[in-house]
Amino acid sequence: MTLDARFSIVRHTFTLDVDVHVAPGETLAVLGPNGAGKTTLLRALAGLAPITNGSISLDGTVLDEPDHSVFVPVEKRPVGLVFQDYLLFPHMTVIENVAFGLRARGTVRESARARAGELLEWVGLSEHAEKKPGQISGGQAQRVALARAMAVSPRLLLLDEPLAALDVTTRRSVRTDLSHLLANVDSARILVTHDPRDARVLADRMMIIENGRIVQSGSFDSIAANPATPYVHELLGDVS
Amino acid sequence: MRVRVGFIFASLAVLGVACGGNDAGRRQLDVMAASSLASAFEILESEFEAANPNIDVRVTSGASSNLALQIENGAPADVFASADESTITKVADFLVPDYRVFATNQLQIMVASGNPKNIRSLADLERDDLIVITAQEGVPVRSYTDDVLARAGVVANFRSFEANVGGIVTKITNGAADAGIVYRTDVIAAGSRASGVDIPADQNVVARYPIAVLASSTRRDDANVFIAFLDGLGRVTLRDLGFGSP
Amino acid sequence: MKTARSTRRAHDRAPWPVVIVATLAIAFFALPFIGLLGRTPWSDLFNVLGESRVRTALWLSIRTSVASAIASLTFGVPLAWVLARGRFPGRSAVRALCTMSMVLPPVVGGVALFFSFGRQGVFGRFLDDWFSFQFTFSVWGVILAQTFVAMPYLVLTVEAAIRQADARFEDAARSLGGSRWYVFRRITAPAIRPALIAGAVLAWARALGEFGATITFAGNFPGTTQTMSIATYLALDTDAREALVLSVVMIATSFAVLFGLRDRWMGAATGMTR
Repeated sequence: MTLDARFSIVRHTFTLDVDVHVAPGETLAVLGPNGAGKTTLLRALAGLAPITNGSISLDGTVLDEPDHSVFVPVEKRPVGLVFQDYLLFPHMTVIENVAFGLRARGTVRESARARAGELLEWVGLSEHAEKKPGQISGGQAQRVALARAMAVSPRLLLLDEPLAALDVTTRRSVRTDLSHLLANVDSARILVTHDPRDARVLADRMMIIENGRIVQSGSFDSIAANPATPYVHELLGDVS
Repeated sequence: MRVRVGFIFASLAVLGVACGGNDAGRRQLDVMAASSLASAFEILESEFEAANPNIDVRVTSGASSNLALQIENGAPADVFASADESTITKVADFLVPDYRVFATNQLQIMVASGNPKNIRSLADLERDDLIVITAQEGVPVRSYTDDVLARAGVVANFRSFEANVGGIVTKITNGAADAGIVYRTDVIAAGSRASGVDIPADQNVVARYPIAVLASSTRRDDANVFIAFLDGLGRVTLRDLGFGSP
Repeated sequence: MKTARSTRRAHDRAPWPVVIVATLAIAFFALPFIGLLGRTPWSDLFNVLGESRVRTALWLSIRTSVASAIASLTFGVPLAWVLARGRFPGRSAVRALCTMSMVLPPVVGGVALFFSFGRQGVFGRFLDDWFSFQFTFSVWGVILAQTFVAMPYLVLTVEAAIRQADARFEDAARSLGGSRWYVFRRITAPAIRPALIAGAVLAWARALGEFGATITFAGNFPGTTQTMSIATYLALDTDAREALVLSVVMIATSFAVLFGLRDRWMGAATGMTR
């Protein structure tokens, strides 16, 4: 459950150069302006974007290291992703969505459904099991996406702006629910957000990226007390 | 304004294309000829034009049955040369009476160059290991073939019915088929690309080629000159290519 | 007195010069079919359809066109996927190559097949030497010729759909541990199902109507290689009634297919622009 990643991704117009370490049971929040590289960071950790230099290791297993020609494809990484738009498969029911990862790895239908049922109970959505994604609310979809990602017991859980698609009124209650749920998860967790309130409630540590570089990292309070750049100052200005 | 000019040019272009081109000054003569006459008529066309520089001969060839269909539907030709008399009789209403037979031909079995499958006679056409082809019903060479096979008492194992005799020749010279019954002239024209196996005279037929002027033709004089040429100077060329005289 | 509403509605309708030209275009397409239907021997229809040669050609056409549609699906879908999602140099050239038979005259396809896969063809000679197998004069030749001209219709339809399908769902599925094939089977294929159906139907219809490549390459023998299209062409010279009846059957089929598909196939017909 320990993530050790020190890598860079070089593209035409943009370079991402980061050093990220997350311990088991720890939630790291990654903040930054649009285009800073937050999503690229998540995609690289997930295996959806290969890195140019450096390495990514999870629990000592190397997932990506170009110098040694090591690249573990996304489907083989024990990494779970909760996407910004949840991306629940529209033609499957809620419980089929949650069971997908297990079925994909060869679990029999009955066992997969049983385990999916447990997870739905964990997120409090058992009575919506047979509904289609189009029939549930945004907050419910977010929890289904979390259950789906957790179904395959990932060692690293990545959440990409999990609350961004919700309207302001639901965000607060969902944030609280999410913090309770995450408290019971023992994988390492990285949460990308642009909202510092998410960081304060959900994360143990914070990291701020600007233009592909980490400009500051540490606990919420320590950063708020000593912002390193004007953006950080602006970001944490009206939270407290 | 620009749009209108563009539209005018486009219309003129369409009309220009539709009207077609023509060798300036020369009179045109459209001849429809059976497939088996195609290569012969190419040579005859140049010889005729050399002797008659004011006439531009254009030859269209195909299965006689197909050409007859076009004539029935108003094809603007001047002369029709068919590979058998029954086809030309079918369109007699569209022709200036009477037709005259200007050449004859005989049938021969065409096989791959060197006769690798060792075909000796018509009876071999019943073999299972050979791919034998002929033309489809209605095409003159098919009627002749049926006659020949009937006389020989052979039921050939045909695998395909081509649209015209040219199709038979193509498939054999390109190795797709092993044998077919075509005209002697086709075997001669194929040269080294095919070999021929003779059909005994008592089983063979004489193909007679009738030629006539179309009733709708506006160039009857030129048409008659062309037909007279075939009977006269053209006869040498026809004989060289393997045709017989009527 | 023209109210504001009626003026607005008048402007929403198509301008009359456009309507006139469009009507001419519709007549351009309708008149040949009307003429043919006018000459069709309706009283004889079932008699002609009952003739064994007609029934044989019909049955052969159905069998071969369905086989060609299946072949088009089997090979065309992976090709469409590669063209839609693959990132390799020369992708446009590959697409052009694979869809060329759509714009080439079919007889050119037939000529190409003849000289490459005919018994003495560049590749066909090996099939003949090693396996005593020949495409020409066999039903396989018909299927090969039909698939050659029909597959591009499916490839373009399906490629368009795959491009439009949200690749992020595939990312999500893969992040859950799905292998690429599993993801295709459970996520992509259901998403592109309408295009798969439309593409298969288009390919089938094109295969059914195929003539130029088939007659050049496969030959003409009732029951083996004489498809409805070939039978129609040749019937014209010998028995016009047969030609008319066969034409009516094929017209009815094509119309039903295109009408049934509504506008679902139009993305493919306009071709790819990227």
